This record gives sequence, structure tokens and C-alpha cells, in this order.
Amino acid sequence: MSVPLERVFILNAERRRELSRSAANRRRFSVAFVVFCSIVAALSLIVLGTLLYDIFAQGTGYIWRSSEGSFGERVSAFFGTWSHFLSSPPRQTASEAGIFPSMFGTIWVCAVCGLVALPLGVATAIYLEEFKPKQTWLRRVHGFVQLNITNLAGVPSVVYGIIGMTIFVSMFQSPGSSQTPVLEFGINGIYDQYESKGLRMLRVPVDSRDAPDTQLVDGMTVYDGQGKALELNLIPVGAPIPQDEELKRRTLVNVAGGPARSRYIDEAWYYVRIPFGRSVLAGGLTLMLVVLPIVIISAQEAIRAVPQALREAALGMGCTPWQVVRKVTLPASIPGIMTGNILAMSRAIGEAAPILMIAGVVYIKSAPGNLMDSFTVMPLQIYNWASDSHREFHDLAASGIIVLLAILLFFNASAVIIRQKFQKNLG
Amino acid sequence: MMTDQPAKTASASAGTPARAKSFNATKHNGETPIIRQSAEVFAERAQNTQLGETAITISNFDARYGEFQALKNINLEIPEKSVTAFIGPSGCGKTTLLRWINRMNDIVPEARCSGKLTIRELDVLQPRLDVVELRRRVGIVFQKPNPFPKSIFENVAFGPRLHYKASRSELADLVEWALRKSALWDEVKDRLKQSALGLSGGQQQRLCIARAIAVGPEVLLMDEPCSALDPRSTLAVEDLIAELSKEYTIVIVTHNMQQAARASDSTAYLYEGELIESGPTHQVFTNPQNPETERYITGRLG
Amino acid sequence: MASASESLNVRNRSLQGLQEFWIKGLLWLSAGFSIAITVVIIVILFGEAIRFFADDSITFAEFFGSTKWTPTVGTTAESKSFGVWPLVCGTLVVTVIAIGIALPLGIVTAIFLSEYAPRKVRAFLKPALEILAGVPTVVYGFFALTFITPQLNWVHQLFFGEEGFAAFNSGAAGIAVGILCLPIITSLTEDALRAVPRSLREAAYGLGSTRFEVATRVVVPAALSGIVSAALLAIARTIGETMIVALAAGSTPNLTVDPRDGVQTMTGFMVQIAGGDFSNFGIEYLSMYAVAAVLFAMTFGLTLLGHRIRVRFREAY
Ligand SMILES: Nc1ncnc2c1ncn2[C@@H]1O[C@H](COP(=O)(O)OP(=O)(O)OP(=O)(O)O)[C@@H](O)[C@H]1O
Ligand SMILES: [Mg+2]
Repeated sequence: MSVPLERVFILNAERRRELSRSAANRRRFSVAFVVFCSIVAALSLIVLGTLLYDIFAQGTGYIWRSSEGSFGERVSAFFGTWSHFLSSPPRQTASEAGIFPSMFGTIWVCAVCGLVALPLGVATAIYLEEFKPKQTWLRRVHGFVQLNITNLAGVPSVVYGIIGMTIFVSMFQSPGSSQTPVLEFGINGIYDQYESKGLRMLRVPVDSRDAPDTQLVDGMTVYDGQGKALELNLIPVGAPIPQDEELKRRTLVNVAGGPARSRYIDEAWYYVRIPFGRSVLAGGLTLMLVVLPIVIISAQEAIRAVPQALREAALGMGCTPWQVVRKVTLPASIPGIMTGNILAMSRAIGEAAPILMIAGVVYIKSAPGNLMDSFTVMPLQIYNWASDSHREFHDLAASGIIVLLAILLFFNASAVIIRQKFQKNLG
Repeated sequence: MMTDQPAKTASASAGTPARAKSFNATKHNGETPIIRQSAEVFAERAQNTQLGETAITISNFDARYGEFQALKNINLEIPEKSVTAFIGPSGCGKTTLLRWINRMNDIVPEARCSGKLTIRELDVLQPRLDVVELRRRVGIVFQKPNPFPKSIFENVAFGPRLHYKASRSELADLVEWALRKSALWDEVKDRLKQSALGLSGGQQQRLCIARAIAVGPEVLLMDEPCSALDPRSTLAVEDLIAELSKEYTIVIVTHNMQQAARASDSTAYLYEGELIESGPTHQVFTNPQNPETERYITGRLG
Repeated sequence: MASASESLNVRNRSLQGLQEFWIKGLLWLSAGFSIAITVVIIVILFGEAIRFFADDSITFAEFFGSTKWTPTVGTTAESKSFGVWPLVCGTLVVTVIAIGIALPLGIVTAIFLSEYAPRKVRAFLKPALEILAGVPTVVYGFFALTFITPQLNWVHQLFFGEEGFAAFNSGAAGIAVGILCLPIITSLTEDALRAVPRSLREAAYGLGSTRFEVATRVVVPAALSGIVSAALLAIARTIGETMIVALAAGSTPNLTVDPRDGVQTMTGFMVQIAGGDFSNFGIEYLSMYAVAAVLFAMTFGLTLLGHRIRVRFREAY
């Protein structure tokens, strides 16, 4: 029982003509669609252009406008302002502020993050790619780990921020704090610190963090900021302040209850304490949690790109699985792994949300000196400036963004170069 | 290879009428494909071939991919409502020539051509040609079956939906017709809604043929349609080609000499981008004018 | 002699075996670390969330039923109200705007890249998208605050004769998040489109399809699961986005869908509590964990679903 041929409209010239769509219209529509697609695609270029233009205009415009004189003078003033910006701490007045401490904060935090995340991530990737188990239930565990990593990559960074805060900063709300640590290691000395009439720091060593206040005595030995021993010149209230600069430097006025005092802890560069508090180490480790899945996934891709034949050749020569990894897989995949690592680190450099939770909104005047120092990073500094209600700080934020983008550009460019070298090698 | 078919199948089909321009619609029900021994068919064909008017004229045709010249000065006439086979060693340009006939090579960025290629009066190579309309009139079936990841029905209805505003019932009739024509109806009539990817390779290839004829082409181009198929499916497709050639001009690329001999009315032999010989199949196979052709054919036929 | 060298050989073997064992153990530990992270995340978030709900003044019904979110008002637990909907609403408004922009634009851009773009244009556009994807989110936040909001106001002035967008508003934040998602959706969608075999395109062209018809009737449907998964992953990313909303969307929990108003998102609230100087032990501090748990559950589900779809779709070809 087949269809009567007259019901098949294809075979009926007249019916066919009736039903036929205009090819010209379809073609015109198609051309319009392609044009539409290219316009939309160009939109992303426009957005990128606008973004960069806006930021560069804002981040350099005010510097250029504020510089004066002839063109040459303006250019040199322009660069002068930039170098000031790069080398100064943030200040209350926008025109004096700079990005120096947060640049070093970024370096410290990213160093911690990289030192932990990169080896750990690459090791995990090697395990997942090169040591695939044969037993069914182990394979299931393997698949679970893999799924788990893809999921970790999707966890918002702000959640890692909370986790980092709970684990590293407060250490599950352990009783201590950064002022009263439960445990600490690497203290060079604890001092009571005073500011002399000559605006110098004078320090008197004490026994412990909670030692009673020092009783100052005229003529006792004190130390200045460089650790040089001085003889204290303690004068009563109302006595004339000495004119001699040298003497003024070690002069304190003995007001009622003693001169204004603060406790200064001289920490070694290897100083550590528990809990970590809002410190570089806590920030770096939190950032490590954020980038670890990224490192793992990119390293896995790089390792997977190594042809199976190479591994089989090595195994055939009697290599153990680890020897295969060390002699064959790793050397072949190291450029790819490096590329992935660099990209992961550039992600870490730009990440602000978890650091905002760890470091809080604070003014940091100097670069961190050890792992336990409080810190800020560039994106966070930019955030602080951008959320300031004064417009001048927005300009500063834009300048900070230029520096940040320049650093990221450097990182990404090196990743691209490595990738291209690698591709050539394969070819 | 296929020369020694089991006697049973050969005798089962012995009673069917010889393939000729005049033979009536053969009943295809899928279960008993008409399989004939090739030598027998070959003999028949030699007697029955009467080539019709020219459908496609190719003259001074050059084709290149970037710098590489794939075809050199091709002059060929392809007769109407018959089967023309392109044969030749791998890489000689058969696919290239085929794909220029319906301008499929437009989507290959580096492909260029020059010369003249006409289908009846239509100049195929004119720059302002409506390729959409051209491809509706000149269908193509590829070497590897490539059904869309859609239902069987949607696959066949795809082309008609593009070109015609047909109602659902008209489409259903058309799909049935096309599937019957390509000898697939009986196998799939109960699962038209299921994915075409679930069909076997041979069924997929016949589906692709159904899909191609459903838009009502005048010319059907087939690039090694049987290369992915087993002998049984191959013969089913060959039969289909024979059946279709009553209404369509068919061009088929093949590596199988026996297939060319069995299934085509005229043959063109290409070698390294040049047309060495063309003519009625029986002539090219039994009495090749060019020693090159002879060597190729005999080399293959052993 | 022979026996000595043999025994040496055996010793080497066992040494080697030991080394293999240790290294494998170490690698195994690193892999186990990622499991540990997940466990710790779940334990901390849900453990603290349970502590939050264990508080006498907090009920589940209030958290998921009330529409008032005032955790920082007053000092006693009674004066505070913990109805999470304003935060969820803020997040959803931003997400809808962002995905509403990024999904169509991203798909169309991906179609252009995979189907139409000449090689030279592609070589230009791809890196641009990669740069866009690599820009830190704080930069987008700044852009939203200092560029998009004023532009939106300019447009608003044009149509309504007055500036309508607040200094902090969900509209600008949504647009900026959309820009952030655009390269993500584009590249995932492009991957999906490129995975569609060339033979399908040829089949469609061979039947007389126009370029438009090939793209919309064959390529996009064949890549649909990949596109859906791209959308899901982008939504997950949007929900978890923090810096842009912290900078541009404001910090007032508002149950509003008006893009001109400021809203607070879930992430915005977390940042406000953690970065600010609220006591580390107060109930509002614990509420942060409850919000984080909700956020985590949402993104976790979306990522899981997105990857499931992606993997299944990969197997189809
Ligand atoms: N897209 C392309 N770009 C560059 N060169 C091509 C392209 N397609 C085909 N060629 C070259 O053109 C020549 C002819 O190719 P064609 O595919 O027409 O050969 P063929 O006769 O069909 O071969 P086969 O029997 O193997 O299918 C070959 O040398 C091939 O390398
Ligand atoms: Mg070919």
C-alpha cells in the first residue's frame, strides 16, 4: 500500500509551485542574519574597547591634567606621578596615595598560593591521569574525585573566602587572636615603644606580651628603631624641651601615668603564630583553595595531550609507572602545565572576593614583612578606592586597574608565548 | 568478491526482469532485495544502454585548492536520466568534480574553479547563481552516511520544509514516498519518530538518499555511496540507483570497478586531475581507447 | 658473582618498589586533599548554618518565609529579621539581567565564530574574548559603577526626562556581570558548535539550506545540550559573582525587581559581614553561613547539572 503518486506534491509541478518558498527571500534573510551575527560579535570588541578606553582615560587623564609647564615638563611630571603612585602607600589625600603595599601584598599572597597550589594541583592531576586504577570500586572513587574537582571549580570564590576565614583566620574560632596568639614562633623581642620629642621611636625591652608597663627612669638604656642603644632623657612636665637635635631625639616627657606607650613586637621574617589571623598566610592559603581546581583541570588537560603511544613505548621498555611520568609524561607536558599554571596564577592575582573576606577593609601602610603580617592586595586596594565616595579616589582606582591589567597582560602574554613554542615543538 | 554470490540468492532473483529503461516498478519490500550476479547484469547492460540527451556539460574545467590544481581541463558530457560513474585512483579529483556540480565547494574557502559547467541551460558557475535553488535541483549523497541527529521523519522532511510550505499531511505523504522510493519504508515505518542515529549504516545511507530525493531534485550526485556498506546493503543501494535512474540523472563516484560496470550507463575515468576517457560503460570496460584506462580497469578486476 | 649481582638487582627492585609506593601515596594524598576540601566546605557551611538555626529566635519558616532581611539592625536577636528572600531576589535580578544579555549575545557571537567568521576576523575576535574573560571582576565592578550607571542614567534621561538609576543599582551590576559571562558562554557554546561534525553541515548545504538555516536548523539543535550546559555554568558563575555586585549593586536588601534600585545579593551580604567589623560571634555572623550554604547549594546543583549534560552530550558524537 503505497501513497498515491498524485498526493506527493513534489511530483506535481503546479502544487509544487504553489507551496514553494522564495529562495531569494531566504537568501536575503540569511545574509541579514550573517550581518546581524557579525554586528553582535563586534559588540564584544566594542565593549572591550570601551572598557579599556574608559579606564585608561580615567586612570591617566587626571595625572596628565595635573601636570604643568611645557610639554616636556608635563611628560616628566606625568611619569613622576606614576612612579610616586607605584612607590607610595595609600593615604587619606588622593593626590599622595599609591599602590605600593598592595603590590607587595599581591606578590606575597600569590607566592604562598602558588607554592602550595601548583605542586598540589599538578600532583593531583598526575594521579588522576596517570594512575588510573583497574579495580571497579577504585575506578568509582577515581570518577568521584574527578567529579568533585569539576564541582570545586564551580564553587564561588566568596564561599572559599568564608571557608578560609573559618579555617585559617580564626582557626575554628580558637580562643586566641592575632594579639593574643595561642602559639607563636619567631619573635625577636617584645618592646614598649614611645615616641620621643624628636619624633623618634624609643623602645624598651619587656619579657612578654602581657608584661606590666615599663617604669621609665631618667638615664636608662633605650633603643631606637635601628636597635642602637641610647641614654633616655626623661624630663618632668613643664620643663623646657631641649633644642639640641641629638638630645631631643631621646627625650620623653614624664606626664602623669607615663608617656604614651604601645607594645611593639619585633617579628622575625619567619614569624608564625596560631591562629593565623587576617594574615598573608591565611590569604594565600585561601587563594590556594580558589585556584587549586583550576590548576588541576588545566594540568590534566596538558597531561592528556601527551600521546598514549609515548607512554606505551616507555612501559614496553620496562619503566615503572612513576618512571613513565618522570621521564616521558612530565617532560612532554610541562609547557602545557606551565601555561595552565600561569593562567591560574593570573586568576589569583585578580581575585578579590575571598581576600576581601580574609583581609577585611583596612588601610595598610607598608608591605608585609612576614607571613603573619596584615596585608592588602591590588584588587582589594582598587575596591577600596572604587567604593570611596570621593571622586578623586575613583581616579586612583583606575590607575590601580591599569597597573593590575599591565601585570596580568605580562602573565598572559608569557602563557601565550609558552603555548606557541609548545605548539611549534609538536609540529 | 561479489562475483561468487551464493547460488541461492542468485537463483532467487533469476526470475526478475532485466534492468532496462522500460522495466516496471519492482516491488521492494526490504526482505528480498533483488540481487543479481554482476556478470549477468553486465551483459544485460551492454545490450540495453541507450543514452539520453545531455544533462550536464562540462568544458575546459579547471579546479584548484589554493595553489594545488585538482582538476585540469575537464571536458565531459553527462547524459540525462542515466547513471554516470566517475572512476579513478584515490586523489584523482572525482569528489572535487562531483562537488562542483552543485557548488558544494563554495563552502571550502580555498576552492576555486574556472571553465564552463552547465546543467541544461543553467550556467552553474556564474557568480550570481542562487546556489540554494541549484542544490535543490541537484541533490548530493555523501560517502559516509550523515543523517541529522533528529528523527527519521524529520530527516526526510528537512529539505521539503526548507523549500516548501507544505502541510503536515502533505509532508507525511512525501516522506512515505521518499522512504519507499529508497527501499527503506518497510524497515522504518513503525519508528519514524525515533532517532535516525539508531539505524544501521546501510539504512542510514538509504535514509540520506531518501532525504536527497525528497526535495525533488533532477540530478542526484553520489560520492562513493556504498563505501561504508556491507555487500548486501551495497546491492540494495545499487538497485535503488537503478530504480532512480529512470527519473533522475545520477552521477556516482566509485572505487569499485564491478559496481561501476554493474550500475552505470556511462563511465568517466580520471587520473591525476585529468579526464582520461569517458563513454558508455560497456565500451569503457570492454574496449577502452586509452591504455591507461585499460591498465586501471584490468588492474582492479584482476 | 652472579648471585651477588642478582641479589643487588632484587634490592634495587624492592627499593624502586618502595619509592613507587611512597610517590603513589603522596600523589594519592594530594588527590584526597580535594575531597577533603569539599568535605570541609560542606561541614563548615552546613554545621554553622545549623548553629544559626539552632538559635531560639531563628526559625526555618522565618528564613525561607519572611521577606525582611535586617540582620544588622539593633543589637538583640529579636530586633533583627532574617528572611532570606530579599537577598535571593537581589541575586536573581542580577542573574536574570546578566544572563538575559549574555546568553543571546554569547550564542550569536559563538555562531558567528564557528560558522561565519573568516579566519582573520576569528584571529582577532578570539583573543579579544580571552582578554575580556581574563579581566578581574573588580574591574568590571568599577566599570559598572563609574561608566555603566552614568550611561544608564543618560539613557533614562533621554526617555523619561530625569535620571532614574540610583548610584547603586542592579541594572548596571547585571550588565557588568553579563559582560563577564559573555566570553564564558561564547567559548563554551563555540566548543559545542564546533563539535558538530562537518558532515552534518555539508548535508544541510547539500539539501539547499542557506547559511542561516544550516546554523539554526542543524548546528544549533545538534549542539543544544552543550549550549544548555554553557548557560547553566554561566548562571552558576553569575550567582556566585561578588565584586561586581559589592561595588555596583549596593548593600540595601530590597525585595524589588526594578533594575534602577539598589539591591543586596547573597554574595554582597557575605562580603559586608566578613569584611566589616561585626562581632565574630553574633547571630548575624552565623547568618552569613546560612546564606553561604544556600549559595553553595545553588551553584553546586547548577554546576553538577551543567557538567552532567556536557558529558552526556560529548558522548553523543
Ligand atoms: N579541501 C581541500 N584542500 C586542499 N586540497 C584538497 C582539498 N580537498 C581535496 N584536495 C586535494 O585535491 C585532490 C583531489 O581530491 P578529491 O577529494 O577530489 O579526490 P578523490 O578522487 O575523491 O579521492 P578519493 O577516491 O580518495 O575520495 C587531492 O589531491 C586532495 O589532496
Ligand atoms: Mg573522494
